[in-house]
Amino acid sequence: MKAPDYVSAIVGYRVWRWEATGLQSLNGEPWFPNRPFVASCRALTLETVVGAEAAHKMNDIPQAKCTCGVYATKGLDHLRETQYWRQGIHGKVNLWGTVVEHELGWRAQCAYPKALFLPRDGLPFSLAAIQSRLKTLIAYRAEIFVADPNGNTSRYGRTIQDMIPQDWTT
Amino acid sequence: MQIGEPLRTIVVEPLELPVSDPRRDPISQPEVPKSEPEPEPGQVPASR
Repeated sequence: MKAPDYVSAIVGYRVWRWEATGLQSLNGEPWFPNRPFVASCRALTLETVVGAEAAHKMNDIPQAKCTCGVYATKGLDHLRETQYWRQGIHGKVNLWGTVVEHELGWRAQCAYPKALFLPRDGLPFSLAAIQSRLKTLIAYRAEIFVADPNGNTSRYGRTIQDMIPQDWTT
Repeated sequence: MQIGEPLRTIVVEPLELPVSDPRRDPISQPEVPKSEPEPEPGQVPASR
Protein backbone atom coordinates (compact mmCIF):
# COMPACT_ATOMS: atom_id res chain seq x y z
CA MET A 1 0.00 0.00 0.00
CA LYS A 2 1.30 3.46 -0.81
CA ALA A 3 1.85 6.12 1.82
CA PRO A 4 -1.44 7.50 3.17
CA ASP A 5 -2.77 10.83 1.93
CA TYR A 6 -4.81 11.28 5.13
CA VAL A 7 -4.14 10.10 8.68
CA SER A 8 -7.74 10.43 9.90
CA ALA A 9 -10.69 8.44 8.62
CA ILE A 10 -13.03 10.10 6.13
CA VAL A 11 -16.52 10.56 7.59
CA GLY A 12 -19.49 9.94 5.35
CA TYR A 13 -23.19 9.16 5.76
CA ARG A 14 -24.99 5.95 4.91
CA VAL A 15 -27.98 3.77 5.73
CA TRP A 16 -28.08 0.37 7.36
CA ARG A 17 -30.78 -2.17 7.96
CA TRP A 18 -31.25 -2.72 11.70
CA GLU A 19 -31.97 -6.40 12.14
CA ALA A 20 -32.29 -8.43 15.35
CA THR A 21 -28.69 -9.57 14.86
CA GLY A 22 -27.29 -6.10 14.29
CA LEU A 23 -26.50 -3.89 11.31
CA GLN A 24 -26.61 -4.95 7.69
CA SER A 25 -25.97 -3.18 4.41
CA LEU A 26 -29.11 -2.62 2.36
CA ASN A 27 -28.05 -5.62 0.27
CA GLY A 28 -28.08 -7.80 3.41
CA GLU A 29 -24.34 -8.05 4.14
CA PRO A 30 -23.75 -8.10 7.91
CA TRP A 31 -21.60 -5.55 9.74
CA PHE A 32 -20.02 -7.04 12.86
CA PRO A 33 -19.17 -5.14 16.07
CA ASN A 34 -15.50 -4.33 16.61
CA ARG A 35 -14.61 -5.54 13.13
CA PRO A 36 -14.08 -3.34 10.06
CA PHE A 37 -16.44 -3.95 7.18
CA VAL A 38 -14.16 -4.74 4.24
CA ALA A 39 -15.54 -4.33 0.74
CA SER A 40 -15.44 -7.07 -1.85
CA CYS A 41 -16.02 -6.83 -5.59
CA ARG A 42 -18.90 -8.70 -7.21
CA ALA A 43 -17.80 -7.65 -10.70
CA LEU A 44 -14.99 -10.19 -10.34
CA THR A 45 -17.52 -13.00 -10.41
CA LEU A 46 -19.78 -11.61 -13.12
CA GLU A 47 -19.36 -13.11 -16.58
CA THR A 48 -20.55 -9.99 -18.31
CA VAL A 49 -18.96 -7.29 -20.37
CA VAL A 50 -19.26 -4.99 -17.38
CA GLY A 51 -17.59 -7.59 -15.19
CA ALA A 52 -14.78 -8.13 -17.67
CA GLU A 53 -14.17 -4.42 -18.03
CA ALA A 54 -14.24 -3.88 -14.32
CA ALA A 55 -12.10 -6.89 -13.47
CA HIS A 56 -9.29 -6.07 -11.10
CA LYS A 57 -7.40 -7.68 -8.28
CA MET A 58 -9.25 -8.45 -5.05
CA ASN A 59 -6.74 -6.42 -3.07
CA ASP A 60 -7.32 -3.41 -5.33
CA ILE A 61 -10.74 -2.44 -4.01
CA PRO A 62 -12.27 -0.05 -4.80
CA GLN A 63 -11.23 0.85 -8.33
CA ALA A 64 -12.17 4.18 -9.89
CA LYS A 65 -13.58 2.41 -12.99
CA CYS A 66 -15.52 -0.20 -11.01
CA THR A 67 -18.59 0.12 -8.78
CA CYS A 68 -17.21 -1.78 -5.78
CA GLY A 69 -16.57 -0.43 -2.31
CA VAL A 70 -18.53 0.69 0.74
CA TYR A 71 -20.78 3.55 -0.35
CA ALA A 72 -21.34 6.69 1.66
CA THR A 73 -22.55 10.18 0.85
CA LYS A 74 -20.76 13.42 1.70
CA GLY A 75 -23.81 14.92 3.35
CA LEU A 76 -27.01 13.91 5.07
CA ASP A 77 -29.03 15.95 2.58
CA HIS A 78 -28.25 13.54 -0.23
CA LEU A 79 -29.61 10.62 1.82
CA ARG A 80 -32.80 12.64 2.36
CA GLU A 81 -33.22 13.77 -1.23
CA THR A 82 -32.89 10.22 -2.49
CA GLN A 83 -35.14 8.91 0.32
CA TYR A 84 -32.42 6.41 1.22
CA TRP A 85 -32.64 7.38 4.87
CA ARG A 86 -36.16 5.95 5.05
CA GLN A 87 -34.88 2.47 4.21
CA GLY A 88 -33.31 1.87 7.60
CA ILE A 89 -31.32 3.71 10.21
CA HIS A 90 -28.82 6.24 9.01
CA GLY A 91 -25.66 7.56 10.51
CA LYS A 92 -22.05 8.58 10.13
CA VAL A 93 -19.50 6.07 8.95
CA ASN A 94 -15.71 6.08 9.17
CA LEU A 95 -14.04 5.22 5.86
CA TRP A 96 -10.42 4.27 5.32
CA GLY A 97 -7.98 2.29 3.22
CA THR A 98 -8.28 3.04 -0.47
CA VAL A 99 -11.11 5.54 -0.96
CA VAL A 100 -12.51 6.80 -4.25
CA GLU A 101 -13.98 10.27 -3.90
CA HIS A 102 -17.04 10.99 -6.05
CA GLU A 103 -18.90 14.23 -6.62
CA LEU A 104 -21.49 13.39 -3.96
CA GLY A 105 -19.93 10.62 -1.93
CA TRP A 106 -17.27 8.04 -1.38
CA ARG A 107 -16.50 4.39 -2.15
CA ALA A 108 -14.18 2.91 0.44
CA GLN A 109 -12.21 -0.24 1.06
CA CYS A 110 -12.95 -0.36 4.81
CA ALA A 111 -15.68 1.13 6.97
CA TYR A 112 -17.10 1.16 10.50
CA PRO A 113 -20.11 2.96 12.04
CA LYS A 114 -19.23 6.22 13.83
CA ALA A 115 -22.67 7.46 14.92
CA LEU A 116 -26.19 6.10 14.48
CA PHE A 117 -29.43 8.12 14.33
CA LEU A 118 -32.52 6.16 15.30
CA PRO A 119 -35.90 7.31 14.00
CA ARG A 120 -38.39 7.59 16.87
CA ASP A 121 -41.02 5.73 14.92
CA GLY A 122 -38.54 2.94 14.19
CA LEU A 123 -38.08 1.98 17.82
CA PRO A 124 -39.83 -1.17 19.09
CA PHE A 125 -42.97 -0.61 21.15
CA SER A 126 -42.19 -2.42 24.38
CA LEU A 127 -39.37 -1.59 26.77
CA ALA A 128 -38.08 -5.16 26.67
CA ALA A 129 -37.94 -5.09 22.89
CA ILE A 130 -36.18 -1.72 22.90
CA GLN A 131 -33.62 -3.06 25.37
CA SER A 132 -33.02 -6.18 23.33
CA ARG A 133 -32.65 -4.30 20.04
CA LEU A 134 -30.51 -1.53 21.48
CA LYS A 135 -28.02 -4.04 22.79
CA THR A 136 -27.27 -5.06 19.24
CA LEU A 137 -26.41 -1.45 18.37
CA ILE A 138 -24.52 -0.59 21.54
CA ALA A 139 -22.12 -3.44 20.73
CA TYR A 140 -20.73 -1.31 17.88
CA ARG A 141 -19.61 1.35 20.37
CA ALA A 142 -20.81 4.08 18.05
CA GLU A 143 -22.67 7.08 19.46
CA ILE A 144 -26.42 6.55 19.17
CA PHE A 145 -28.92 9.43 18.91
CA VAL A 146 -32.67 9.54 18.53
CA ALA A 147 -33.63 11.54 15.43
CA ASP A 148 -36.79 13.56 14.88
CA PRO A 149 -39.19 12.64 12.03
CA ASN A 150 -37.02 14.65 9.60
CA GLY A 151 -33.94 12.70 10.55
CA ASN A 152 -32.42 15.60 12.50
CA THR A 153 -30.66 15.28 15.82
CA SER A 154 -29.70 18.00 18.22
CA ARG A 155 -26.04 18.84 17.84
CA TYR A 156 -25.65 18.77 21.60
CA GLY A 157 -28.18 16.01 22.16
CA ARG A 158 -27.57 13.24 24.60
CA THR A 159 -26.71 9.85 23.27
CA ILE A 160 -28.79 6.77 24.00
CA GLN A 161 -25.87 5.51 26.05
CA ASP A 162 -26.28 8.55 28.37
CA MET A 163 -29.96 7.90 28.89
CA ILE A 164 -30.35 4.17 29.41
CA PRO A 165 -29.60 2.18 32.57
CA GLN A 166 -26.02 0.94 32.80
CA ASP A 167 -27.09 -2.71 32.99
CA TRP A 168 -28.68 -2.46 29.54
CA THR A 169 -25.22 -2.35 28.05
CA THR A 170 -24.03 -5.59 29.62
CA MET B 1 -26.70 4.69 -4.45
CA GLN B 2 -25.99 7.54 -6.85
CA ILE B 3 -22.90 9.45 -5.78
CA GLY B 4 -21.89 11.10 -9.05
CA GLU B 5 -18.73 10.78 -11.08
CA PRO B 6 -15.42 9.66 -9.54
CA LEU B 7 -13.01 12.51 -8.85
CA ARG B 8 -9.86 11.00 -7.34
CA THR B 9 -8.51 8.05 -5.39
CA ILE B 10 -6.89 8.59 -2.00
CA VAL B 11 -5.35 6.38 0.67
CA VAL B 12 -6.43 6.85 4.28
CA GLU B 13 -4.50 5.49 7.23
CA PRO B 14 -6.24 2.51 8.90
CA LEU B 15 -8.62 3.33 11.73
CA GLU B 16 -7.96 1.68 15.07
CA LEU B 17 -11.23 0.30 16.36
CA PRO B 18 -11.97 0.20 20.08
CA VAL B 19 -10.92 -3.19 21.38
CA SER B 20 -13.61 -5.01 23.30
CA ASP B 21 -12.51 -6.32 26.67
CA PRO B 22 -14.94 -8.92 28.06
CA ARG B 23 -13.71 -8.27 31.59
CA ARG B 24 -15.12 -4.75 31.52
CA ASP B 25 -18.48 -3.25 30.76
CA PRO B 26 -18.95 -2.29 27.10
CA ILE B 27 -19.13 1.34 28.11
CA SER B 28 -16.52 1.92 30.75
CA GLN B 29 -16.93 4.68 33.25
CA PRO B 30 -13.98 6.97 34.00
CA GLU B 31 -12.36 6.13 37.29
CA VAL B 32 -13.10 8.74 39.94
CA PRO B 33 -10.21 9.31 42.37
CA LYS B 34 -11.14 8.54 45.93
CA SER B 35 -11.57 11.66 47.99
CA GLU B 36 -10.44 11.86 51.55
CA PRO B 37 -13.25 11.65 54.11
CA GLU B 38 -14.63 14.94 55.27
CA PRO B 39 -13.65 15.77 58.87
CA GLU B 40 -16.43 15.46 61.38
CA PRO B 41 -17.69 18.75 62.86
CA GLY B 42 -15.33 19.81 65.60
CA GLN B 43 -12.62 17.42 64.43
CA VAL B 44 -9.19 18.98 64.00
CA PRO B 45 -7.64 17.99 60.68
CA ALA B 46 -4.32 16.18 61.02
CA SER B 47 -1.30 18.15 59.93
CA ARG B 48 0.49 16.92 56.76
